[in-house]
Amino acid sequence: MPAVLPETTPVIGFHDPLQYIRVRELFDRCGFTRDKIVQLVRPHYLIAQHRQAILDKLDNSYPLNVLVKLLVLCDRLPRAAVEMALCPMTLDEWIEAGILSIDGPSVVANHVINAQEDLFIAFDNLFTDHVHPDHVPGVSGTSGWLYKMTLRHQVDRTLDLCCGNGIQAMLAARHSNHVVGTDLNGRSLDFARFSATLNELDNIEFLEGSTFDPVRGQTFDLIVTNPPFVVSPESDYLFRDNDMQLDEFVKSIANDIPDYLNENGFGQILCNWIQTSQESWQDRLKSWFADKGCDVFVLCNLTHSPKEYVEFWKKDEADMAGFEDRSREWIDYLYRNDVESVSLGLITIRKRTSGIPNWFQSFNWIGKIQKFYGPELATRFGVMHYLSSNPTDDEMMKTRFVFPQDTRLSQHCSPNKKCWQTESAMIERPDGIAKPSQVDSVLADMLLQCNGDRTLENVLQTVQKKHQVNLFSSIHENLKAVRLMLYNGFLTPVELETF
Amino acid sequence: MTTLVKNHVFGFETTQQVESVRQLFAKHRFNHPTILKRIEPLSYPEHRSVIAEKLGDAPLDVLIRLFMLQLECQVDDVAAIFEPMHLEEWQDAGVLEVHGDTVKAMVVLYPLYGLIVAIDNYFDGLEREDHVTGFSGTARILANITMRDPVDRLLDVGTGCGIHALFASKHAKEIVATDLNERAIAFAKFNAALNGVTNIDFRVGNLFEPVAGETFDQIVCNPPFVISPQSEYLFRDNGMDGDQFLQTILQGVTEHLNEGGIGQVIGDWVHLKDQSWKERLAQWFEGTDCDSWVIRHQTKTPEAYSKFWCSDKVDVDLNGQEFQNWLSYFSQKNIEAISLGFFTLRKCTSGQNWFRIYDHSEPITGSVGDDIKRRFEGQHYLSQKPVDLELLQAVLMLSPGAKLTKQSKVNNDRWELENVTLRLTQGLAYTCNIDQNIANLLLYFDGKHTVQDAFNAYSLENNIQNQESLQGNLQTIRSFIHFGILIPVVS
Repeated sequence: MPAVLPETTPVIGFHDPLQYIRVRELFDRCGFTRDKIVQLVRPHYLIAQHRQAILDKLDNSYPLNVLVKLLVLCDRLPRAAVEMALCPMTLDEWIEAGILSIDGPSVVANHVINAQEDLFIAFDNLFTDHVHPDHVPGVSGTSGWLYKMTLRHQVDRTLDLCCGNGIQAMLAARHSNHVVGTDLNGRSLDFARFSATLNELDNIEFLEGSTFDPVRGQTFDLIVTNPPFVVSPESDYLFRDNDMQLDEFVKSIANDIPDYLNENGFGQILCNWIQTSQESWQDRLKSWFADKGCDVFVLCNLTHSPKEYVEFWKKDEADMAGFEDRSREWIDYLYRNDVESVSLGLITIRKRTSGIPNWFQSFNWIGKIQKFYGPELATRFGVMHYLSSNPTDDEMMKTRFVFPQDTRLSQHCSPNKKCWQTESAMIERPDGIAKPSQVDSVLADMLLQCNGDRTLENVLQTVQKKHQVNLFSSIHENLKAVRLMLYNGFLTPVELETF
Repeated sequence: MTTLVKNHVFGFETTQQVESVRQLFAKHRFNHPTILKRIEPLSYPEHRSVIAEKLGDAPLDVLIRLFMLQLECQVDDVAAIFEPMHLEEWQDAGVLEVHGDTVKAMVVLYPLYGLIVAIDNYFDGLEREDHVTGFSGTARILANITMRDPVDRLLDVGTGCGIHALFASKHAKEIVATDLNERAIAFAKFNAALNGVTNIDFRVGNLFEPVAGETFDQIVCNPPFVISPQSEYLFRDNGMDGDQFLQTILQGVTEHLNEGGIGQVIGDWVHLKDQSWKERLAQWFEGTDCDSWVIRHQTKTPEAYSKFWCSDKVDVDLNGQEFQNWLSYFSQKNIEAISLGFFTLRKCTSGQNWFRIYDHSEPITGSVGDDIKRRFEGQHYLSQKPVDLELLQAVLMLSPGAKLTKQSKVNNDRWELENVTLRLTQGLAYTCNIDQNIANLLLYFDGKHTVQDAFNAYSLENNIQNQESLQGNLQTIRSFIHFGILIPVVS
């Protein structure tokens, strides 16, 4: 059942709840699942020439092929083939739901229904040349990034701000008692309600309105948002642009989030922010949360010069002809406003208004984001909390630490007589949240010994013996190195505060 | 020798005036690093107006606005900065024009690697066919690959605004620079005077015509090499078919080199259907008495090539039709690809000449002339096809910029070596995976001992009984010479 029945005719939606169940049965029977779809449309169905090759390959005698061509690739298909694929549902039911249209002897889809993770998700046709201002896009790269980074512990109330097609809200519905999704674009809420109902998620409420307007006075345990954050002089598209200067829109959301969070609640913002000649981006973000009673952790994924930034968005441009002029205006806009660079990243905050002082940490991070990072992000907050509580040297010596097994060591060597002498060595975690760090051979070995079974004292004794160095004479200095490894993401106390 | 400063296009009357101009620019720090700080991060031709907004009234800002951005400035502001020189002197020199209470520059003046260089205004499109351009991307590459060993006589063919000749003035005693474009020669003379360079003889004339019968120790050339159906611009197009123009230049270079002299040319050549481009290029050098080494930098399809040149920023008027003209030109001429590359030639009348090709697509940054020289020797050595016994007697040296990166992963309580990479950090960049033992063997190539000695020492110090396994590495050593990792040391 849709959580809130819309008053006007929605862009997409069946009138009878039973119809959603029949659609699911249809999809089940045809094998219309994420895995199957990906298998059929890979590798590059979004590229015109590949799309045509894929369409040519799929014949209409299998219902799955017809559904994929119609709903995923938005192809035009003969009426008979579609009717057969939809059976026992009728074509009229799908037309009435706003999903399909008749065009002469053919049937065309007005919208896309695709699968993401194990959810069905509906959004606007992405193969049209004409993009409306209230266009509802699919799951973008940044959107996928956000849900892979989302903290997935069980919570009571979650808010998906600027929810778009509703993907974040739906994924959060599994670990939240109640979810609210808000968006300024009413069309996007029709899509989100449709998808939520199709996915049998009945604990989501989609509300129309600007940012926090529909949830004034409410508080949440988790707030996720992938807002229209593009730093541009334009405001053509609701899903991308906003009409505020530079990163002011993101800033306004960031400023408000703590007021809508319960104590110990988390907020996650996937967005752009700028750096000016007057202020480093780290200082800028710090100032957004000053006196807000929040711990802040920032993962900065990309930093572009104004020129690179505009190039980056160029690939999304439908109107290439006019883009040269507009890109010059765009670059000039950034330059005129003293923008040195624009960064893309994830800001995660935790509301904590009492106890040890709040902390702020940022990593430059170029992970491939191929897995779900929720647990690791939670660990980051745990480790930073541990460090911020200033454990004494003695306490640390009695603590057992773990070293992540996906760490890589790179030694950079130069010729020195008859050997390659190591000039510097770095550790990094290609797929983990950590800041690449310089190490020496003793530290690199010490980290290996931290297997979670032994106390730090025990580890240091072993390393001291093996390398014939005295680690205990300047123990405070050596523990500084251990603290840095904790700070940079290469050590974790075995017992950690969890959420 | 240029002592005459004034020429018919523009220039100051006296060396005294030129000295005053030099002092003026020095005083206001009109130099590359300082200016970059003022106008970064934008490239100034495209974003002129927004850069101009940011500039203030400081003398350097006025000079940038006047000479680099080609914007009108207030007469009073400029006159104050130019004191003790008078604006009339600049007007007489043809560098500035005064209209009422505003003043405008007639040429662009900009700093470049310690020089100040005059070129034509590029803001108002290209109106004249004898337009004099600045330091393009390919000019930069030629400057980077040019060998800088001291020589007596150097020739710069197609000098344009004179940049390569000016750079060469430090390592060559005498320089001759030619250009068909009279206006370019005027600019080049002006630039030489402005930079206090007195050892360049500028001559107007086509290619080698002004140096008929003369020979040189070094020749550099960045010709107008674009292969196109057009011949609009002297600096870019050459009006000859396909790569004939490049071939003509290379022929000329070989004829004007002294024994042992080095010629370096950058240019595009075509790949014809049904003919190997390597064989075609090899034929160009038959009977020239030159050893020739071609470094292929990039190869483009006709589509990519046409797109690149049709979207060239200076060609504002090109439209879709032009693009089609280019494409049909290539198809008519049976051209299936176009390559950009660098030719290094060495005159050698004794012994058998060689022709070799090397692929290098990485960007070329910084001065790599020394490395080009070392690698040329390596190619020369390989061209003699040394048999194993000869190679064992060769003396080799590890490239001075060789670095190793060892990457390890965690395996229980130890670091397990996963991957070893060798990188060349000086000269042309190169990276390859390498076996750890081979990497250790490389350390024994010290430029003093033979390969055989290196094998012996390595075996002894690493307790290797079976030296035959080392002999199996001789083919690897040949490829290391090819890629510049090992350099033959000529005794």
